[in-house]
Amino acid sequence: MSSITDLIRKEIENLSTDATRTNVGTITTLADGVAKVEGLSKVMFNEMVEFPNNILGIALNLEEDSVGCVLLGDTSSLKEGDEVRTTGKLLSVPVGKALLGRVVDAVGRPIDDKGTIDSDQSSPVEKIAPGIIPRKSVDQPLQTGIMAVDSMVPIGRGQRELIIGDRSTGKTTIAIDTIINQAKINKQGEKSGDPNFRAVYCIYVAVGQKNSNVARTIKILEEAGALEYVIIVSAPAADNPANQYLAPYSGCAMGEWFMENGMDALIVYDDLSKHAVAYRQISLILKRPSGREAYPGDVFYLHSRLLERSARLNENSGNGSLTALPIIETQMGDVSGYIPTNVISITDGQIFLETDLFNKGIRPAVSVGLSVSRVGSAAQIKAYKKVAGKVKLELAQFRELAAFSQFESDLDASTKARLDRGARIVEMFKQGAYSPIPVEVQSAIMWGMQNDFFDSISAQDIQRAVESLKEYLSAQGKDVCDEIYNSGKLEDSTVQNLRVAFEDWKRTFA
Amino acid sequence: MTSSSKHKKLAKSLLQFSLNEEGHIVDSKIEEILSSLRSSNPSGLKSLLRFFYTEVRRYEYTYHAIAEIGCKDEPNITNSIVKKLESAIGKNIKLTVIENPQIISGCRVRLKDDVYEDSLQSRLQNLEKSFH
Repeated sequence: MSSITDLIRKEIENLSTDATRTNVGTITTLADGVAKVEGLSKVMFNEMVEFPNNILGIALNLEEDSVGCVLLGDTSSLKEGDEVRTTGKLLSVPVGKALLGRVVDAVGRPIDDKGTIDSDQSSPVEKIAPGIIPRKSVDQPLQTGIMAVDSMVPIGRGQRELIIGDRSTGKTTIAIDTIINQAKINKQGEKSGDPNFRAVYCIYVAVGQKNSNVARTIKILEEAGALEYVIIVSAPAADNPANQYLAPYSGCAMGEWFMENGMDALIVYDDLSKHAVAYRQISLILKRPSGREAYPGDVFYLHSRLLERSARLNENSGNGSLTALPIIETQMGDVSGYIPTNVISITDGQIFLETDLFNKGIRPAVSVGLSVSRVGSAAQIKAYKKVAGKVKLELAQFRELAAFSQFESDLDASTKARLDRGARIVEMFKQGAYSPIPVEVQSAIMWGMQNDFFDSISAQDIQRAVESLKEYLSAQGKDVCDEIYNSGKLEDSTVQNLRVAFEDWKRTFA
Repeated sequence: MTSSSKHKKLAKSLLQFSLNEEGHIVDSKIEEILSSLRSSNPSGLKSLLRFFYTEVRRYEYTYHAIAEIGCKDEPNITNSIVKKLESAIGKNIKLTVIENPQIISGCRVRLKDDVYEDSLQSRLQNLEKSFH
């Protein structure tokens, strides 16, 4: 007991005797997580303000005689006339490796019942994106483990690749697959002890998702052993719009920490359509003028300032990177909507997922014609570049020819060959969820397709053949895969070994 | 000049008439102004009165400080607070002192939207925060 009183006495003695000066205001209106405050004449834009009962808010609207604040937390205890204080601080979230494996809310507080987060560093949620000087062009691949993506729309470290499509077309699955693949590569790299290996840490930001979906995602990552490399920032649909608005910026601040400290990180924003809706809600309550589809005028800036923070830094700036995979949900496949076109123009390419393909069982339902990566083959290893160069064109030709061939009964030999090849490529690209394929295995399979090893197999059997080939390459063909993995190239000797392996496999495959 | 800007200008002049030599608003002067306005009934009286109300409120808010003290009001405390505030603001300040036992000891002065505080209550609150 005496030690406690001593402690309190010491604390009182240590307190400074100077009077403090605080800028205060009074709540005049309070609705839907937004408060109008009279006073706060010295508040800064985006400054954190303190409401009674330790509730925090952010000053978003600085008007002549009032301040519009969004509230973060339970607002039920607040009432008109309550005092609000400035804090002099911008909203910050904890950052660092201590957050890996944890689920946090929009302001970085743990919500996974795993105790407090031991992070002594924090970073402001809003930050200016890196300028031109510290940047470098994207040249290192970020393997998603999805053949259709890695071969046709390769993603590089520091790139921003949009995943876009209607509801239930597999957008989140592509993002989760990518995260799982990073975890697999990280484990493999750490096991190899290669000093040049660069792990990719992941941040998954769930905005406006159902809590059940977030829980399922966490379970999938846990089961795949990927959670230890992932930070999950959750602002579910039940959360107030202010938290949904903030979550992507908080996740970005956490990802930036890795980039600024010379590491690589991947951030998934799932999804920015709901983020825009949350921002629209806040803006309308703040009485900001609304524009197209009732979104405020700065909805482009909302996403551009977020996505510009993903970058590849040069050697002088630590050589880190932050890759972004924003997700956008379209309505009835309409990519010309307001938010989709905005985000398409901000990002360095998009993976468009088609509902028709998905319903036909072609999964991942990547649309060849509408998907593009502006970084292109610069983000592929040499071996992969060599075998995947023609595949996009072949598949696009196949889709076009397939449409026309419906009306033709007699087809010439070359058209028929193209159609057959296309049908096999489509089958080859079919891939189950949460089962990413290593790049060396992908290269080998693609090599086999380019060198006609699948031509004698009917299109219906291609998937079975690919599965059998994957098994073969992980056992008897492991050496040739290791060769590709270690050198990253398809040298003459590797090609020779691949040919031998394929001939051997074909003998076993019936 | 539009009628609203005319009324705004007039309201500012009326505010100046409401002040005494020390720069404080005098209630009797305001009552005098209101009764003369009522009797003359100029056009747009409602708008003029609204602007006058805003001006008076703004002036009161800017130059009227409210001090909450934990102990009984003592003239030397009040004077020292007024002096310090006037030297900081550079204008005459009207001070209203309220006794607030929750403060326990020390004082809390609010002028405009600034709060100057050195009270036992705030120190205990800071102490509580440091334990979390």
